[in-house]
Amino acid sequence: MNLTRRTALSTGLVSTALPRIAFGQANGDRVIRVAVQKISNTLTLDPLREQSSNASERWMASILENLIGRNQHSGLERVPALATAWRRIDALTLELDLRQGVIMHDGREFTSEDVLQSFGEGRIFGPSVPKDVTAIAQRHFPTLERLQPTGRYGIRFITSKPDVTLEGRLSAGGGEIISAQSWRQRQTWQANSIAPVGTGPYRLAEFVPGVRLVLDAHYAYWDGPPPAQQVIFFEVPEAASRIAGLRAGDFKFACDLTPDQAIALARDPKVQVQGGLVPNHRIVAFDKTHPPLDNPKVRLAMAHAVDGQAIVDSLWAGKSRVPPGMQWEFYGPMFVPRWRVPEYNPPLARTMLLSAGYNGEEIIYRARHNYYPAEVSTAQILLEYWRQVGLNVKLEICENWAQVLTKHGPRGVRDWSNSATFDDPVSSLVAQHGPHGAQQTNGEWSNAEMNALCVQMEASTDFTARQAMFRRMLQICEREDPAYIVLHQNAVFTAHHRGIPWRSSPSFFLDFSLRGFSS
Amino acid sequence: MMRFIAWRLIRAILTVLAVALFVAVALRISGDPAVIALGPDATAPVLQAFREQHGLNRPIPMQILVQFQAMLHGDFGASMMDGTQALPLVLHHVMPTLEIALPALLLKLALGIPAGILAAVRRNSWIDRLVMAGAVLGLALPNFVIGVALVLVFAVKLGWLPSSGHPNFAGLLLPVISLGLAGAGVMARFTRSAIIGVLTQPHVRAAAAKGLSRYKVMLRHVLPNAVATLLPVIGLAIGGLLAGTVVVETLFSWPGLGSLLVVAVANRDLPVVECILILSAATMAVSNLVMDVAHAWRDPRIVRGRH
Repeated sequence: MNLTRRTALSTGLVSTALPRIAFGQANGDRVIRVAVQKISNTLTLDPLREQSSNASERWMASILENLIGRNQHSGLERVPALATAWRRIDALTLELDLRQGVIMHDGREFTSEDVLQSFGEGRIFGPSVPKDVTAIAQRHFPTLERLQPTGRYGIRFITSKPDVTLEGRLSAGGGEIISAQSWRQRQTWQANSIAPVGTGPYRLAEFVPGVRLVLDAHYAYWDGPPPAQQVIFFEVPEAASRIAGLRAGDFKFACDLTPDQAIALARDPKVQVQGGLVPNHRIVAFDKTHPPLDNPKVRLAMAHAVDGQAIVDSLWAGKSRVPPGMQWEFYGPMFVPRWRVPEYNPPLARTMLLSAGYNGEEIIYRARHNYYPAEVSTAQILLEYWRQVGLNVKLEICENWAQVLTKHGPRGVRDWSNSATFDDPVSSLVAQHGPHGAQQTNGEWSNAEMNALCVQMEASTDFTARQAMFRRMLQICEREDPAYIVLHQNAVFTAHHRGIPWRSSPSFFLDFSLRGFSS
Repeated sequence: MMRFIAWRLIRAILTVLAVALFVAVALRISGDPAVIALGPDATAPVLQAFREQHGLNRPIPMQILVQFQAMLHGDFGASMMDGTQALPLVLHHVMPTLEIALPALLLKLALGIPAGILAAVRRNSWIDRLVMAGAVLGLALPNFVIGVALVLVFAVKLGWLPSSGHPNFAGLLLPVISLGLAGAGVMARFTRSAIIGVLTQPHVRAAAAKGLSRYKVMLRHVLPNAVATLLPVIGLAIGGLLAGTVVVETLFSWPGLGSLLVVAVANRDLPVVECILILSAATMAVSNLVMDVAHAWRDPRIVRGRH
């Protein structure tokens, strides 16, 4: 670490004037111990390899930050982060003013050089970069052509074609900024991938894959010194062990609780449960190449047969909701008002099946064993709904995703969830169900008009036209040629010792910076 | 004797090779490792890039051939997740596993053998029934149930011990007791059977008839003969040291080989899974080999019977 006079002074000064936030322990212990189900699915800490919302999103923004941030304590709208302002120079160029005086974890000042390295050779492309990482980066920034610094504190992103989603992409996973100098000092991409150096409120102290992630306070943090001296994430796979550890005082926070666990814990006077909706929808996806699902009427009938609200009420204790289709309110102007998922209407479903000529053919439904919260219970409820309208659906519980997605054997319906990684339909409907999305590349579903609309939408800069396109896409994917059924929005719950003035975010992120504490 | 040992050694090596082959085939045919590692959102180009990076685009027999060739040179490959060499990664996790597995083994032996002897000596008494009821309970209750109960009592209610994964003496206790109690039941039952088997032998009656005390009969005539029956059971317990802690490690978030195995299997991190399972199989094979040799040394009829 380069310890500059500025770093030393700021660290010393701010650490004496730390905000007094009680963590619920009388001995003044300023270490936050958090039990999570998973720290990293890929055993790495780099956002271009570690892509899981339910694992790395918990801590990633504590270490690495984006140029454009999200308001984690409101509606996830874009806010200045490492860039203080941004503007369009022309249809292909986005110019950003970088925040000055930001001290990185290695003691250097953040400049445009770090942005160049974050999107440059050795980081996202080049012979030393794993091929899948380059492919992931291309998926995140498909139109990015080059970066052009305009000075120490300014940079331009130049795209190969107009891309109105660039600001959103820069605020999402994959757009995090790393220290150029620290990155170049390490020999390999793999070595960097387990030792990220960024600008966040906490710096990496130790990472033991599958065991713990230790973060130390970065007192020179640009948005105020973090209130905790240290945050330790412990990987505790079993929910019962996380809860027991919380109650025993081994952890101050326990994450990844199911709704019933959250309800039970909320009765404990020493514990406070927070959480709520996150930008992720539980869906079932169709394989329309499999008869009888080649008939869109059968798929729509399956949607009309399901009462999502009953699932929300019975399995989520009303703490989730049936969302307005595959969209989220933080889309802002792109949100389609008054759009609804197909209503629960068993008589209509029966009529549709009759007109489709459905004759009791078996439909395979592949699910995993509670990869998603209450997944098996949800599957059982769905089976019963479908049985009631005369559908013959057979549930297959699979051990892994490869078994769910395999093309061997008949495919019909499968469990899935879709996230919105940034505030535009391109991040969800286009990314997941468009021509390059997993559902189409896996050969489950395709629609020529949808694919044409996806191409147009990615290139269009006209918001009115884009909203019309998005409405039409919803019409295709949820009514005319159903690609999926939206069941409910997902919610996450975090329990912590009562008395800690911490606020949860409308996402998977656990914000332990000053912003995350109410006093 | 040397021929006996050589033959057993060849059998042990073949066993390990068979396990390696089985694991290599089973892991590859139970699902595309690229899809498992990258999840349901991964697009075709990303999956293809991952397969190329890790040689998964080759036919399965070719993948296995290349892997075996490398393994014979001591190269188990690198983790597909973070690029770490599999063998050092796995060896790094062996010590934490042994930290709980060895004390648990001692606990099994220290509890199970005396309890079995006591039950056999007091056969059909209330002591025998009590010990055997405890042994059956230990056998019937899975170690994670014992673990959860211990956590509830000693961590949540009493607050005496940490609930999980602490690398200190207090943190060792609950995982060790969870593992040890279940195994002690098995050991007690086998010990009781072995002792009763020897107690009914004519030479034991003869020893008692010539006026030896019960203590001396047990020490000189019963226990040495019962050990021969117990050796294979102890061998299995030692062989299972590395592979037998998976559930308890997961429950207590213990950073050992079992936890690593669960993560690696879930991610289909082939080099790591294969390395762990080959190491576990080798431990079991070596343990059995040692016990076979010990058994043969103790009872030379075994060698003569075979050869």
